[in-house]
Amino acid sequence: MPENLTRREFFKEMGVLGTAAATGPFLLGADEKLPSNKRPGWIKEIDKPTVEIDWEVMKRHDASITGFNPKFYGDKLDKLKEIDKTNEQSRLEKGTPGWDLKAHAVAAGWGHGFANLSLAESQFIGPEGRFNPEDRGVSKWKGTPEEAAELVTAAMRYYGASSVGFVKLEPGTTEKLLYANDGDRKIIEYSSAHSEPTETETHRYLPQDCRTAIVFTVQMSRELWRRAPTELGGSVSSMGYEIGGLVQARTQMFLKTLGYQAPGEYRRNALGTAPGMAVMAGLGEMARYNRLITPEYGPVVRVFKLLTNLDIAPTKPIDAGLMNFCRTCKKCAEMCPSKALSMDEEPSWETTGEWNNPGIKAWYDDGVKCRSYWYEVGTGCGICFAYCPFSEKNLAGLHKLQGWAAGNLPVLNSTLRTLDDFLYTPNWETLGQPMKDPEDWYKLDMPEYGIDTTRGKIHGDLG
Amino acid sequence: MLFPTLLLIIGVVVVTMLIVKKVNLKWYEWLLGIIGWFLAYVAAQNYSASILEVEPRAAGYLLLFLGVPALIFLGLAWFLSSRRLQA
Repeated sequence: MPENLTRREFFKEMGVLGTAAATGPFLLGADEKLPSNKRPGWIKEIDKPTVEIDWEVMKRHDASITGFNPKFYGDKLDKLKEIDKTNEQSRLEKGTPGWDLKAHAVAAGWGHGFANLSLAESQFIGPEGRFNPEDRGVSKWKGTPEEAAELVTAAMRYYGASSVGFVKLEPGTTEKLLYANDGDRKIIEYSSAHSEPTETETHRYLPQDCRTAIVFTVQMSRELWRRAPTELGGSVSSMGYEIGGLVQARTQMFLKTLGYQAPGEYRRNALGTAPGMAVMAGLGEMARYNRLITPEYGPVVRVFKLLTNLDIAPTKPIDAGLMNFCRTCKKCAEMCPSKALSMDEEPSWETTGEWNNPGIKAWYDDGVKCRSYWYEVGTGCGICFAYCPFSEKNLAGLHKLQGWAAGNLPVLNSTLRTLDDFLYTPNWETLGQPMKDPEDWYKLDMPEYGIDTTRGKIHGDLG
Repeated sequence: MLFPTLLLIIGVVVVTMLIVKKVNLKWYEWLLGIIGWFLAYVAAQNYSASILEVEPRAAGYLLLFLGVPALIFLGLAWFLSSRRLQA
């Protein structure tokens, strides 16, 4: 059966059952390709808009003449601004819900009140601005570690993080998840001599109290990644990194406005080991492809981290049966075009080269083989991420059953792998790559960023 | 998700009618009917969801593998009960 069926092909393939099945598109309001870019039938295309227009009267408008233009206010403007400022300050000082310091901090994360700040690049120290709450006449935000966890998670979800966790960095154990030096060779060091994050030509100094690592994931488009390895499929990583950088900058502004420090990654994949911190924060487990696998999004995430001196309750590591599933699945390793992934059933303490960091019992990957393929193919790959059985979207009950079974009934693991092959990647050995036709992607009606942001969440965006 | 919602409604309507009309079903007829309806619901849910997941192939097969047993169970329940009630 072809990978993407027209209704006609679907009828042919499904026979009698196809009759019932093919009524779905009508009921769903879709057309020949599913789902289509067509809107539901009650939205009609018309020749003239519903608003009446007189083109004779209309002129091209001066964009500076809006309700914001001071000329319309005359002498009243200064008074109005004063009222605005006084009200804001009064509500801030009183802690009026929705106007208190934490609300200001959430808004500041989006640049509210700091319109000229650029958030385009990841920065160790983060955006500079008038963040200090004491400059606003209020003391820094205070709450229990649990309240802090709730507040930071809510704000970061709003900024674009998919999942958020927290790790306490303890000397001798979890502190080792910080890199000794960043990719630009600058040494990362805790320093008693620095009360604020400080960057020099050779060092990135962390204050001793910045011991909470905030770890977060950003979901990527699985649908597009199934077009890997192509330029189109490769863009998925870039999109994830871009959003992650913005989430970090927003979070830095948010935390600074609350009155806390927030040193972050100076660029993508900096500061500390992403899967290590994410595993310790309970965002997921280690997988055969030697990266993070999450219960909510499978492997289709990028992982980011920043530090803070705000005391946040740590989140615990998890067991969702995912690493155990990897023992027998091996799909990523089998599909890996460069054969860079381990086929051993059991993880090992032995690394495959200097590029691996020893000390965990994992399926270490051969990073050089992997990157060599990238050069060969001319773009990033990601096949191991895209075709993991847990990368399937989780709308169908089958995927929920798979998640439940991995955690509770591992005896079904190999059956679920076989089923995944049959339903989603039939005959992949002979079809070559990529599995899905890149041209079909343009015809899809995907959500913003190509991701389902309600995935793994209880409360959807209802306004 | 129109299919599973429709099936839920149909299931409730059918059961209500059976109770209101005091149709005397044997326990195994209820069991066959419930299993059949449950499988039909699962088939419809997986089909609709797989279409939304842009996986028409998986949608077709899930409908086939879950829908056919659903029809068999529902058919058996109907056949057994109608034959018994007509006798």
